[in-house]
Amino acid sequence: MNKNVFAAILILFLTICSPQANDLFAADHTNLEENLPLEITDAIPTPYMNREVQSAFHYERTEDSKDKYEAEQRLEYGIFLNSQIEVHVPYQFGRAVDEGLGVTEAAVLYNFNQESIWIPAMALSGHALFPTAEDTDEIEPKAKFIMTKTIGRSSFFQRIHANASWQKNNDRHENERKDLYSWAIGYDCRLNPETLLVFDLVREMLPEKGKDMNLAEIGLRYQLHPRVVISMGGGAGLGSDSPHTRATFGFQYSF
Amino acid sequence: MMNTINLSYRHLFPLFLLLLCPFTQANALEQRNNVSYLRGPYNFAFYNRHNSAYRLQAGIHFAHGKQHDVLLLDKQSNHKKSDASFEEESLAMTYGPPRIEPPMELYAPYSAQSNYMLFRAIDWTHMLHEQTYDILSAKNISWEDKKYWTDRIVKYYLEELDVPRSPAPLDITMRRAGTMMKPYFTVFRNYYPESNNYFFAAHWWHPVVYEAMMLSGNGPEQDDAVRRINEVYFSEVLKKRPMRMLLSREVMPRYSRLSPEAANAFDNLHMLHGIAYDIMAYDGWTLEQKTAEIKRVVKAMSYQPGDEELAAKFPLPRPDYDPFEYDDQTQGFEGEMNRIMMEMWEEMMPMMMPDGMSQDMKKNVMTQLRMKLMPGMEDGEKQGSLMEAVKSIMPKMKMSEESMGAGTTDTKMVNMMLDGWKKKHGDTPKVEPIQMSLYKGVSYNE
Repeated sequence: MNKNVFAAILILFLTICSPQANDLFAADHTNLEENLPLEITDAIPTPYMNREVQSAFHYERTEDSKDKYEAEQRLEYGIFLNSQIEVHVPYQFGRAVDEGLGVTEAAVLYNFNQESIWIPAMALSGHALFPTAEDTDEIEPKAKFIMTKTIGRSSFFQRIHANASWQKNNDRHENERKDLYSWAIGYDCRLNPETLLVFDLVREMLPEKGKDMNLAEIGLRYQLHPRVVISMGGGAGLGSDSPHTRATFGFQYSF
Repeated sequence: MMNTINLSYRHLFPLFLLLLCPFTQANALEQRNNVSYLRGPYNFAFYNRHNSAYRLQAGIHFAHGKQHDVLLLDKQSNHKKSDASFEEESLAMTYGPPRIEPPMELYAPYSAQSNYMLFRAIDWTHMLHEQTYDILSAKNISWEDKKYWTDRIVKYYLEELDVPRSPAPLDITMRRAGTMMKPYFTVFRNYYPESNNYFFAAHWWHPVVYEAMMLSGNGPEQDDAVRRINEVYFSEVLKKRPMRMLLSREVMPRYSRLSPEAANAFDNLHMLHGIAYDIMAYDGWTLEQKTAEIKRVVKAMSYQPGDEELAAKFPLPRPDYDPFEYDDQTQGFEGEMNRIMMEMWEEMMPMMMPDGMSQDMKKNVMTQLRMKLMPGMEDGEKQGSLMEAVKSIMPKMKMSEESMGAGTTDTKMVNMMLDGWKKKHGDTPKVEPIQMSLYKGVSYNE
């Protein structure tokens, strides 16, 4: 099947699954999702039986000064207690990429615990990255470990997060790494009842040997309605292999 | 020559995971176990139709959440300052409420780390509040069908999470919890009266909103009725707050007949708030002891098999109650809550004072009991909790370790109280189910 047709079908499916009326569930601006608006995520899963449609629009000015745009649709579901499954379907365009479907992804996350005074909340997610983008042929596995810990004694809901991930580069070319690792640390706090401020620092191995990218990001998540969270964020690259800038606008709708 | 270890990403990632294994296997870890709302054609009708009331509720729940951290992180010796400043903050949030209903951990992140089970129990019952309001607010659900949808959400509430509040009357669950002789009981109401009475006022507001809806029906009169309740709340109730925790049966008798299970679950939640605040305010226990006791109380007041059979066994002191009239009887100390407390006290006495006591001593004890159950401290009232006050009058009072300890239950005393309830009220007839067609709402079916 042509990849663009596949993308269109998937995006249509996700759109059909989106809510039609008042059949909804409270979204949660404190539950950080990957790239909504920053890379950092928290260890908190969506509640059992909750459903959420997420949309994100990403812009990136790459390290070689080209523009990359990505529109992404996701569906998230609380499949068991403390567990969620997700499907991600991105569509990319711009001078930096071949226009068309990006790498689609299916993921499952399991949260091990509620944090205590000393022990952080921990979660593990497993991902399958499907070769739906141009120049991709192999399914690639990815795993991510996530920790979240509340800090301080104020009521500002201040938390720190750590993410560590590994990805197998099955589509590697010559001079590319076999395993890709990335790390991120983040901080968030409640600015007012509906708004969350988020920071993160990301270090990510690029496929090409010897290249790593670093990113510093800042963003906001705002609970617009009990069922809607909107988010926006931006970041700047640090180092010669990093993108110049990144920006994201996100929208989450629970139904 | 010393060997150097060259740690690469490849080594660090599995090492990182390995280091975390002991944590993930620890039995002490509590899971979040959160469950989503029940979907229905009524979802968020209360938010959409009565937004100012929805936001007022969100302001009240801000106070409910943050009060946990305020008490847990402050010293009881600072109670006057803490009480005054938190009541002021709660009022500010009531007059300028948040737009969205908050979960407990949003304003009490410290307490969430040690008492998440309590927060799940509270949030889950707030979900029941919201969905039952939604059902009454939803114009697309006919007046006759309100009962069907309410029963559906009550069933979901009782079955889908492990810590729903019991559908049995508070008369049963308070006896089961056995908290009266714990060293913390009454500390919050005695030493934090402004904050306590803010919640007593909130526990007037919650039930009378249901009752106003029951009287006004599905049509436009409902909008006016909810608005009038908010007016009474701001103009009268907050200014002269109730002196007791009002029970559903007292101020929402019609809704209590529509869903006795939900009515009791709300009473059980409102009482749980008070007990949790007592425990958190009490300085004599460590955080671990407080957590153990809170878990015990949460479980004791949870749904247990057979509770639904008892759901409708409560009196209706004023079946034709007018929710728009904030009268003296609603404001005063005398009422169902304190009747239950007095009954429990009488039931415990033979075990605590097997040799009996003089009339003078009994009179003194009853005077202290009454003062301790009243918010604040009065002239002549002894310092400390109820248990500490009566112990000073009855030094020979017999108390078991279980009845006073953290996380322990004096089963013998609990059974004695439950037997006492059976003797007094076991034959109480069940409240009669309400005929929705007899109420005004039927003429507004849409």
